[in-house]
Amino acid sequence: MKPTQVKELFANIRKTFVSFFSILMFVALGVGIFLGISWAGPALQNAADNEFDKGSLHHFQIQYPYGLTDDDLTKLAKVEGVSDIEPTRQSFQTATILGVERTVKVQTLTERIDVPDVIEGELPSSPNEIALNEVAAINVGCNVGDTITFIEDGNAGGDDDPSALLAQPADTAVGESEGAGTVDKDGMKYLNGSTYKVTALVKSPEYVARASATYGLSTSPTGSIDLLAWVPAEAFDASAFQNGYPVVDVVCNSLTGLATFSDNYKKASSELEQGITDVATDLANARFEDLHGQAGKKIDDAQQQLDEGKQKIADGEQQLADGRAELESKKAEGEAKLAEGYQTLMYYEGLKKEGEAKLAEGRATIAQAEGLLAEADKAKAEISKISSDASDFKKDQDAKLAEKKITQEEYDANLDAYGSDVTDDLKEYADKVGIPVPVIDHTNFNEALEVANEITAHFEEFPVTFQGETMTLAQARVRLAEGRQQLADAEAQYNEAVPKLNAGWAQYYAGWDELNRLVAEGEQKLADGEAELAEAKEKVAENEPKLEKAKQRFASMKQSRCAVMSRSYNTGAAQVSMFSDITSNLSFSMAALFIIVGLLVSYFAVSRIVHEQITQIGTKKALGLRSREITTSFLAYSAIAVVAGAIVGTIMGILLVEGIIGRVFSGMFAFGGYPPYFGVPLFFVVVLLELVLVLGATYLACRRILKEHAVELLKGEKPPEGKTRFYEKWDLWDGLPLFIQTIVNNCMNDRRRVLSTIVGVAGCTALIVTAITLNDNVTKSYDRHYETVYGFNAIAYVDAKTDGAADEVEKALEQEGYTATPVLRQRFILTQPDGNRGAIRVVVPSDESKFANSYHVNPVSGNEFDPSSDGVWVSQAYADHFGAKVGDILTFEDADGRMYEAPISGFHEFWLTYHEAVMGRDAYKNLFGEDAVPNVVLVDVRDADLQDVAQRLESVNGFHSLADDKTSQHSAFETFSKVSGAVVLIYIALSTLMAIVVLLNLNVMFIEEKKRELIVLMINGFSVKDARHYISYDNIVLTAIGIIVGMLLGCIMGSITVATVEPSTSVFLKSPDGLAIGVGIVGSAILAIIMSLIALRRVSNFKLTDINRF
Amino acid sequence: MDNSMLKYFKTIGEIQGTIANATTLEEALQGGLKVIVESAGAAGGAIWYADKAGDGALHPYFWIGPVDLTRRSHAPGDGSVGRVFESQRAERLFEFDATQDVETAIDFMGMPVTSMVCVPFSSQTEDLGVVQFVNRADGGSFTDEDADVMEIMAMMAAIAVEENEELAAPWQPGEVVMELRDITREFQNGETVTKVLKGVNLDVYEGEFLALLGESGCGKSTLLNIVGGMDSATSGTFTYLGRDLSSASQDELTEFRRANIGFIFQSYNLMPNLTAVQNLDLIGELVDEPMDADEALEVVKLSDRKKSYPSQLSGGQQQRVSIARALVKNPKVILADEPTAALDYATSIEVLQALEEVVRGGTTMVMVTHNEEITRMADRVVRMRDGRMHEVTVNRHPAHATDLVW
Repeated sequence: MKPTQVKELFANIRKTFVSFFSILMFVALGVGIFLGISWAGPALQNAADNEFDKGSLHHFQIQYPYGLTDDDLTKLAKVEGVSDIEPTRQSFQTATILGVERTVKVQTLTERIDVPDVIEGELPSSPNEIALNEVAAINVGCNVGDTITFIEDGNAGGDDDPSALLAQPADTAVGESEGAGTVDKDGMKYLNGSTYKVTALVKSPEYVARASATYGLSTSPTGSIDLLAWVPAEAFDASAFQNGYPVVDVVCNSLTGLATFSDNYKKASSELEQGITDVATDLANARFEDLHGQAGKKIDDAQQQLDEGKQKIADGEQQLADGRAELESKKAEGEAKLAEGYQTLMYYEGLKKEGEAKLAEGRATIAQAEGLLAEADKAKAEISKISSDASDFKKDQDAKLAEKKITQEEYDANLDAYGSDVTDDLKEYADKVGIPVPVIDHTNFNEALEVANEITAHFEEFPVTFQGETMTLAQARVRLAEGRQQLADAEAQYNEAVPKLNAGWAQYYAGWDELNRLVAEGEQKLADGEAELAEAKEKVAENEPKLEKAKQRFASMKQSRCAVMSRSYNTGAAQVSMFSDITSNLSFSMAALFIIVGLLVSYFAVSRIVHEQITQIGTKKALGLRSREITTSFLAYSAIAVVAGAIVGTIMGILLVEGIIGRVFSGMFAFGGYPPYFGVPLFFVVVLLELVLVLGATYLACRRILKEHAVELLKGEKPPEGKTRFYEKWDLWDGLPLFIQTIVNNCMNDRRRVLSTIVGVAGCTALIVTAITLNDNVTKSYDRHYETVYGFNAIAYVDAKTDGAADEVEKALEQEGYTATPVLRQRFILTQPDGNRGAIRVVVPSDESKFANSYHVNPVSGNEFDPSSDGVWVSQAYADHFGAKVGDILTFEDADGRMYEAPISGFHEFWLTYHEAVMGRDAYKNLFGEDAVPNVVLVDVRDADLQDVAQRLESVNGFHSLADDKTSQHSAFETFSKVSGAVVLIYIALSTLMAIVVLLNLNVMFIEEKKRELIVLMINGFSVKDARHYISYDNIVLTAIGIIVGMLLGCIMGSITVATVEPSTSVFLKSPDGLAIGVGIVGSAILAIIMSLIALRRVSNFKLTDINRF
Repeated sequence: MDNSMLKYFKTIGEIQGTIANATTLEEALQGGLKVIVESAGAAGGAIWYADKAGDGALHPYFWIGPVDLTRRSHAPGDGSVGRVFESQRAERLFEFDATQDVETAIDFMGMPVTSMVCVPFSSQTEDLGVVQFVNRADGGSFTDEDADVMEIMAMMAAIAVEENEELAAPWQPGEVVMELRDITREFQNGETVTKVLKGVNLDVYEGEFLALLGESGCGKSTLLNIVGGMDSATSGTFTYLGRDLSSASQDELTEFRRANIGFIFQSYNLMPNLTAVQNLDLIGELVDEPMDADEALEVVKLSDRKKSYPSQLSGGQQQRVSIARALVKNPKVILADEPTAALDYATSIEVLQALEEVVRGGTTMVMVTHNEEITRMADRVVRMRDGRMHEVTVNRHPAHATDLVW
């Protein structure tokens, strides 16, 4: 182009900036959306890769349930390409955190590979310290400084993901046996301690996805993992693992520099994988042989021990019987001797009592005699006293008389009186000894003293009667002395006999004690013997079936698959890959619409410019410019718009689209950062494609005009050619209101506008309908599942080892008024038709009739569900995504790597995000060789509080826990909802942009095109309102048509978009969505109305005098 | 010979040539007045004709200047014109004081008179009227020299009357439908203000066919826009049937157009997606008592093409549909803007015939044209120049469309 032509080009851009901007914007939208969404995946992958590199995520993870030994590791390290290896152990533990039982996956804290990144605190350095995954820790309410105590039901076990499912299975781990060589283990033995102090919150490259569902599957009844934990290697009991390592992380330097999700990585990884797999498989085989041999030997030893034990029990029983007989005999003998002693003692007891009676009698006699003598002595003293008192009285009277205190008469009288008394007193005693007592008076008062003395002198002669015998006092005294002597002798004899008797008794009781002690001792010995015997019997009883079981297991002990998992098996990497694919798929479906609309916009915009400049073009042609030169000018116009649009779009894609999706991903993945991605090749491809398409549209738009001769072009724009159409000949046509005829003819004669308006409105509607269909159908799929497939909303986990646990729980739930159905629900690895390995859940009803109440197996293809069939009914996603058909073989792999094959009998309706297969009990037994023991009870608790229900089930034997299945499944849908929510946001934003750019532009263009007609009408008396109405009729009709077309297009696109975001495990509803259609209609109508109203504002600004310009 | 004498003789010669070449008396007088006004450097001039057979007053026969004297008349003795007619002596009011002679001052309504010369216009047998010259175009005052020339020229014009037939009776206009006073219209473009109309005073009479003639940019379309209610004057007053629309709102103007005005455009401006009859129906629906669309098409003789789309019609047919569309509302006034400009001669005559039919039906028509020949059909012809009315001619004998040749 010549310089002036370039100047004219830019002048043209300025003049027609709205059209230029329209092209630019649509290119920007198409490019922005496509690149933004396309790059969201690589950006996610880059963010993941940064995280993987930072924590040195393993390139391979070898998982072998029996574990590899240190020697094996040495050999593995020498495999070509392997740069470093690091073994780990893992165990599933249960801890009560804030009152809730949590399943914790405890792993070895590695030093070089899969190194956790410390977010807070410090990594554990001693065996009783533990680090927790930050996201999970926050979820369960744990923090640095807390203490976690594991309760004793832990186990080493597998994961739900393909890798973890191969981890050491509890029932095949050859562990230390307690006499019977059992392979079962108590969980606590995997860890040396039970109480750990949380020293750090970390994030691990192995678990970049935030959702706990990606942590894998535990061996707990619920199967879930709530918390991830790392402890130092020494915290594990190596012997519990037979000194093996179930998981070995491998790093290969040749992969270190490659992006994980790149083809180069996959290729290089695939090449290395085979070599590692070969070596690991050989090592695993050797390990298995070794363990198999050990197990056989231990079973033999256990059998021998059991036999010996049985013999010892028999001997013990005989010894015990003998002992009991001997004890009984000795006891009887002792008791007889004691009875004899007792009789002797009782004889002496009689004698003792007799002696005591005699002694008492003697003592009474003596006391009586002593009483008599005491009375006699008392009487003697009284006589003396009488004498003494009389003497004293005489002296006193004499003194008084001498002192003349009394008269003689008084003296005499006093003596007489006193003497009279003395006479009486003495007479009582004098009579007993026959001594006469004179009457004493003042005359013989002194005689009284003599009488008294005489009585006293004869006192010993006083007669006393003692024991019926009368004697003198003196005799009595003699007799008393003799009695005393006899009593003293008797007492001495008695006192001598009593201790002897007491000693006899003591001996007797000691005899009893001894006998009892001996009997008790004998009894104890017998009891001990019996207890020992019972224990021995119990041990035998306990170990005998264990041994039998061990024998059976040993007989069936098979080699497990030694799985070598590349990074693609890492759940975080798998999630990143899945969402990368989803966004990538979305980019095409979304960008396609914008590219189509953009092309139309470009075509119409350029077409309009060409028509507006038709005279100018004619002039140029007339002046000698070639068509090619004029075309080049228009192509350059479009090219500038495309390039500018591409740049704007790229910036928009990076900042807006990538940003929005990045925010969603940030909520799903624990990445340190989310750097935006810019891919040069794709950018150029897209720009080139846009250039080709838009320039093609531009060429088409101006081709026809530029073919015209200059003279024709100089005549200016030709008015649209009206022609009488067939329908105008119908009588019906004439009967139609004029405005309808006007609308029809306007539409028929202005197809360019009709098409562009319909496309614009349809585009807006389609975007909204697509977005909401995607969002709503994902959510509705979840709802649909619980309406039509699952008749339960909760799962009661039971201990399958407890006999009849499921039935008891079922009964308890039914008593509560809930519908409950026991089933076996078990996870397997599924070998998919695409060669990948996924997970599948197998459900086996225990009671088919009840099962139908809780689980509706609605076949979408194949046969009706038949529990007696040997086949399985698989969720519909398996057919949809892998093209599987009825009759195909479904290959299951159990946790030990054993493979089972079953024919597919049908595909059933299933809307959740995993594969599920239903089969009958017979089919299960035929397939897996064991009975399908129910391990869960499916229950519809309706709106009841789950905790209340669970609390009431606590007392039921074998009940473990009650989980809200509906809510837990919802989290998986939430992940999709977050993505689809972002898509809705983007789509609606884009819809609005499209409305602004397309509809507003179209409306403005339309009004400008109709300006002349409108001014004519307004000159003729149309008010602004009339003019707006006149022009709006068309728009209303076109908008309605556009909405209908958009609705249909949106439903189709929605269905396609839903299909593109479906992971291989899921099928979502793709049916037209009422809400989407409703919102699409209303949203588009509102946008169309707003844009129309904005554009119609121009009508009021029309200058009627402009009619002179036309 | 000095320049003034040379100019004098030159003017005489021009007048003689004009009169000699004129086919009618009116033409001769109009041509003569133009020559005199231009030669004398007057801003305006008028020939007042005494209607002796009628009311005896002096009526404007022809005039030049931005005023509409159509309905103006002077009784003999009234004002300068009346006085000159009565006295048959010229009046030279070189420094005219309007306050002293109000009657004379309002002769040129809307045009302030600062200098005036009135000379008698008489044949040898009778007094015909007065020739009035108003203001010098250069803003100065007339001189005696100017007045001398004017008198001689007036005499020469009078001679022409003697040599031709008698002047027709004065035109009797109908009621005033529209009245424009001192209408100006300015357009602002950035800092530049363009004055398109510089003070127009014009009445439109019921039933008349008024032609607005002028060069491009003279303001005739702008004037048509204002009388059509499509535009408003910057200043001045515009009344329709006595209703002042000078400051009417857009809604009021819309109502005015809807109820009273029919429009005919140069480029037809038919709705391309509607048939002929639909185009009429679309507009007919705006009024309470529209003319029947078929009837309107009958007027323009296009009944047989009523279901044709504009693109299926020739230019003339489209314009006739446009005329029918203007008619269908039964408007008081039809405004036509260069209705034949885009048409060839034969087609133009067809269209003009249709218009003639419309006017004959009693509808007032204001037509903008630059085709002098078409103005022969008009009752009055207003020539515009530089945003002002330059001259107004009353056709005493309007021609038929079929008589027109160009």
